[in-house]
Amino acid sequence: MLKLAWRNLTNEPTRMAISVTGIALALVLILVIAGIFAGSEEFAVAYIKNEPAPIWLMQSGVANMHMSSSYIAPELIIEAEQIKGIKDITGVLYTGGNLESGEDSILGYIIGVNPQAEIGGPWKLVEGRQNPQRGEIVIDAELAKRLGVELGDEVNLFNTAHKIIGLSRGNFGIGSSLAFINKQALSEWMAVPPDASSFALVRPDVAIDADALAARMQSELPDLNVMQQAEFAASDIDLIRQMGVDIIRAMNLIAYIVGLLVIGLTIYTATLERSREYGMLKALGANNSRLAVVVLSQALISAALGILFGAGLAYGVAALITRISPDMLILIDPEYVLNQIPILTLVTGIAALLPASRIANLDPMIAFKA
Amino acid sequence: MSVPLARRNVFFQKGKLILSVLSIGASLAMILLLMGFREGLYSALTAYVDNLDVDLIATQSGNEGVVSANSVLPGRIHNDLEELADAREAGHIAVAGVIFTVDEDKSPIVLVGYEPDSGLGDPWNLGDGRYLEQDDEILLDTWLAQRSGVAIGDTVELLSREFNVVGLTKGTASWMAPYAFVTLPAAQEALGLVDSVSYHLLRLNNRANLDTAKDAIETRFPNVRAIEPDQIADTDRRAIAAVMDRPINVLLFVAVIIGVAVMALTSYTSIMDRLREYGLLKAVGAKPLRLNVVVIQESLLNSSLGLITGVALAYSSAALIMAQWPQFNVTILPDSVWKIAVLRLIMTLLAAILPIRRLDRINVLDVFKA
Repeated sequence: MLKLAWRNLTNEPTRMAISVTGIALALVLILVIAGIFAGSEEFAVAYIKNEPAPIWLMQSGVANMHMSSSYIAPELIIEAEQIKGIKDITGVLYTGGNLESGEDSILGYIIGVNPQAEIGGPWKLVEGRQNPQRGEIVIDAELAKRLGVELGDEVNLFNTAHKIIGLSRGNFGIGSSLAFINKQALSEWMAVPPDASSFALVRPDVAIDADALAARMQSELPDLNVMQQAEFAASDIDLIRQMGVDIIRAMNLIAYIVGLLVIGLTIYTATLERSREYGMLKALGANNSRLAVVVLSQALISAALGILFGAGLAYGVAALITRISPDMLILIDPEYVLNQIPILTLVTGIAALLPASRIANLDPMIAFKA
Repeated sequence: MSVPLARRNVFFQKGKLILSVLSIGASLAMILLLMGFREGLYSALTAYVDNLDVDLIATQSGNEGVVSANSVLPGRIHNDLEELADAREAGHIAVAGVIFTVDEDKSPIVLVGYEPDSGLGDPWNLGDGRYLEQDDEILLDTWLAQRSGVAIGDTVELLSREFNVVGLTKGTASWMAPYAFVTLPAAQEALGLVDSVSYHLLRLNNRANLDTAKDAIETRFPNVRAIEPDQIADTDRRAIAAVMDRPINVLLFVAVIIGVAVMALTSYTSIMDRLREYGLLKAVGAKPLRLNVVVIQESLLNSSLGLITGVALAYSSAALIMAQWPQFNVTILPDSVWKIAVLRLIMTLLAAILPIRRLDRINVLDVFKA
């Protein structure tokens, strides 16, 4: 029966190719949507993950950096510095802003760093220098390309020209681009004291256990939230996943329906075309369930080829898009691809129902008509 | 009298017609829904500014958005602004992005602090409950409250402060960041804004001139820009579009390719079903152009029915999606329907290429084979 199903499908290779492409593209849509969210997670937590600070301080009640605000008064940082076991605390300011060059404008997060600080700035510099003074800025090299600017050029931020003194790597993502400017200049812009911070990065002394230090800091600093690096990054990932879950579900539902119709249309027309042959098989004694297996096999073969082609295509599309537009990192999790198989198998089964019922109602005498 | 061959072909097999029309309709609906989702996202994010009902918004120069920027202005310039603009009413608001957390459920929200006495900047559509009276009260978006399992009368925590939920607002949902409202002093305290606000809102006297008011404010306070709400909404839209348009356009591109594949599949299978008949037409003298016209007519008829189905599917799906997931505002504009109608024509012509090429290869002698 499988052979018959295969022959029915391959008898018209163009139709099969179009059908497999349709199913594959529906899967591409599903995988790319999920991949965009997974990729944006990476960029959203890149700063937290890459700064060498095992402990992070933020305003009490704040547990996220992405799409969030935090304010730490200068006296709280001084208080934190008194706790034993700390090597240093680096405060950074954090706000949103539009980087502009000519007609181009990119919304991103602006991080104010102290030029003397060892950490808190860009973690991977590809050109120029970090530690921006007033009127200077470090931006991602890909963002610079997008804005059409180079090292030494100026970009506009907060209606003020900022000279690009450094180009960094790994901080230009969808909705989470980072640019680094002078902390004091940003404090004036944010109308906060120069020693105030949004977040503070803590490095423990050598041989100090970060877990124990974080717990001690939290008990001694009730007005701050103390989080460990991994916990802080996980909190932001959790936030993005919760934001994305419904949109992924809604789009997947639409893609499943399209896939269902494409498979249904292919198998239905293939069944119609072979009505005489199916009638002949019936006349020769094949029962409905055997013929239904042929129809279902055709549907499953189409779906299997579509899934294989779609998965490959999705990885190709993801790589191509990320190459063309590096801020759009699309990460396709192989486990997520595998998770689609049972759902698409179910969809395929449903799609085969209509042609199967058509065969069930087929009159065997059709084979003997002129 | 010529035979309406295309129409007869299309309506000959009802089951196939339904599947074809549904497949094309679903593909077009998917494109329309993506466009509607994009439009809805932007309009939901600018809903607050769109409903402010003020003449001018004074913002920090260089921070001309509400959702896409973090303006900070001294509160003390309030009276000067009112006088300079010849305003009959003036109010001020604090706006910031924060994360609203209930148990494990996290949502980024736009927190607005307004002055209940002035009413300027308050929510424009209160669904249930009452407006704010005290500093420990909060108004939450209806969907946000439902998602978090919060009702009127409950206490919620935001930035380590407790607030009583006294009302639920409507039209303030968005999957990116729904709105929540507290009093201005509560927002200032929670956000660490000392004697600062984000924006001053001005309603001018009837006799006041908008341009004169803008000039007077910007001349007296060079760090302040006086802008009409439409301009702010436009800035926010452009800023969010710069972030979101790329991923949405990728999905739209995939959806268009799926649509072309579905149309090609429909058209191709239809031709293959009637290959003998087309061969017969060719054998009795029908010119290739005539056959090509039939194919295009058939494709157009299918896609026209698909378009009608698709538009109906898109509007009903949008209503269903918004009922199931109120955070998604899917706004299908008539303009988008026109665009889809034109796009459908292009897709139809592209989809007809394969069947036309197949028809060109028909050997008339095949018709006379057994």
